[in-house]
Amino acid sequence: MPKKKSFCQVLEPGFYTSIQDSGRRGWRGKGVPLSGPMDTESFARANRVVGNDTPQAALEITLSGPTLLFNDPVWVAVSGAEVALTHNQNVQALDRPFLCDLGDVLRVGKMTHGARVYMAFLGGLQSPHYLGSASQFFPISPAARVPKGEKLSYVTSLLFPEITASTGEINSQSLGVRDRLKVRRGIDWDDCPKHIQKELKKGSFVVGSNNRMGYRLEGTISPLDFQPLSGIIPPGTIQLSSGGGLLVAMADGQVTGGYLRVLSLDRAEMNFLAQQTTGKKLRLDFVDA
Amino acid sequence: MTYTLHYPQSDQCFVSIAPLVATQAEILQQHYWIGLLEKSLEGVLEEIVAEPRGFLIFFKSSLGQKNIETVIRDTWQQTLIEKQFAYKQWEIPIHLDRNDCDDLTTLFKGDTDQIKTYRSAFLKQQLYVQFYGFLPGFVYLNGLPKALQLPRRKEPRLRVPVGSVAVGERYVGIYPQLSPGGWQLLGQSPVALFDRNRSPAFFLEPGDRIQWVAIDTNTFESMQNRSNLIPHHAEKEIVLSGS
Repeated sequence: MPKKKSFCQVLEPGFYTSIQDSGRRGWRGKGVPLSGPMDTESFARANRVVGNDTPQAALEITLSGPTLLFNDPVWVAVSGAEVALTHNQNVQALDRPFLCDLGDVLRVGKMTHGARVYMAFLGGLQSPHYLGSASQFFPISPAARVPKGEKLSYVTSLLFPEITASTGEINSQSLGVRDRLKVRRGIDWDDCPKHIQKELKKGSFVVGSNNRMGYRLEGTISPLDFQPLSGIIPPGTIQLSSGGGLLVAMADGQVTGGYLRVLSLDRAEMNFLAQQTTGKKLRLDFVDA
Repeated sequence: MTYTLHYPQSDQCFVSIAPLVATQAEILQQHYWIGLLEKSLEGVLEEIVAEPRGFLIFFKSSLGQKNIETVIRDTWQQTLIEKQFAYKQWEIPIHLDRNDCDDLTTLFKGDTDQIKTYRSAFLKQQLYVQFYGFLPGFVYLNGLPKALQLPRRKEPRLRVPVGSVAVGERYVGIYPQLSPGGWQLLGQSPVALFDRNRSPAFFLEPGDRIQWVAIDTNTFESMQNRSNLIPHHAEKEIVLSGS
C-alpha cells in the first residue's frame, strides 16, 4: 500500500509546544545549539511505545498541551509527566499506543506532576529539516515552536507494526520524586576557590526561571573575584552565575558561556531536572566526591 | 604548549591547552590537530568544539579513557611536525557611520578626532577567527591590539541590529541576528554570517583572516539586499618558524 501523507491541525498550541528529534549534531563548532528533547528518556519511551524502532521527530509539550484535530488515521503515544489526556471525550492512558482517526480531537491538559510530555507518531512527524534536524530552534528553523493553526504532517497508518514494544511496567527515572540532584565536577572545578567548593557541597537551591535554554538554580554562593574567559558549555554544564546562583545549560543552551563551569549533570540528571518546575528545592550530591 | 585531559561527562573529553590558544598560528595548529583527531576517531566521534582554553571532544557513547589518551598523544605528536597551514583571507564590508550601531560617539564623548583615529586604526586590523559561540554564526575575532580594546557596556542593549560589528574587551564580533548584546558597536556589515538557505550556511572557519572594506550608505543598502552573497577571499598560507 503506498504511503499517504496527511496532517493534524493545531487548534490550540498549549503553553509551549515544539517539534524535536534527536537534535542537531555536528554544528556546535558554528555556534549552533544541540537542541532535541529536554527529557530524552520520556521522548525515547513515547517513540518506542508507538512502534518507532529509532526515535523520530515528536512533539515536546511543556506544562499544558495542545488540542489537535486529525485528518487521517495515525498511531500516537504520549509519555512523560502526569497529565490529563483526552481522545475525543474519553480519557486516554499514557505510555499506550492508540489510533487517532479522521475527525478525532486529542487534547493534552495541564500537567499535575512533572513539566514535559512527548507525543510521538508512528513513522514520526514529517517536518522539514534544517542543518540536518527537524528540531525547532530559531533562527536555524523559521519558528521556535508550533503556532496555532499549524498543520503537523505525518504518514497515515492503520495497522500497528508487529514489533510492538513492551508496554509492561514502566520505571521512569526522570519522573522520580527526590530532592537531590547528582552532580559531577565540571571542567573548571579546580579553578573554583575552595570556600565556594564547600558552599556548593553544603548549599541548597531552588529552581528559578527555566526554559529550553537553561534552568536557574537560585542559591547564596559567594561571588567569584575573577572573570573567566568564554568557553564551551555543553548541555548539562552548570555555571556559577555572578548573582550567587547556578545556571544549568539545557537542550537549547548557548554553545559558549562566560561563567565558571563548576559542575556537570549526566543525561539522567538532566532528564530529571527537565521535569522540575519553579520552586522545587534541591541539594547537590557529588558522585565523584 | 602542554595539554591535560578532563572528563566532564562519560561521553566527553576536554583537552585543556596551556598557555591559551591565541595567535593565528596557534589556532590553525589547534584545528590541524582537531582534523587529525576527527579522522582517527571516525565512527565513535560526534563532534569536536574548540575554544581558547582547548577543545571538547563529544563521543557517540562512552569510551575507555586509555584508548582516547593514546590517540590524543599520537595526533599531537603528528601535529608538532606540521609547519605550514592554509587559511582564507576574507574581504568583509563594514559601514562605520550608522546611527543605530555607533557607541564610539558616547565612548569618546563626541570627540570627532578621537573617533576618526580609532576608526582608521580599526580598519587596518587584520583580525582572525578564533571560535564560534553565543549565537549561531557569531564569531569571536582575535588579534585586536590592546590600544583598541574597549570595555563592555555597563548596561547591555536589548536589541543589537543584525550585522553589527562590536568590540568586547579583547574580541571583536559580528552579530548574525537581532539579539541582546553588551559589546560596543562600531558599525554594521551587510554580509550574513549565517543564512539557513545558503550553501554553505556559514563561511568563516577558525584561523581565517578578516580584511575590512569600508563602504558608504549607498553601497551598504545595495549589498543588504544581497546579504546572502559570500564575500571575496584569497587563499593564504602561514609558515611556522623555528622548531
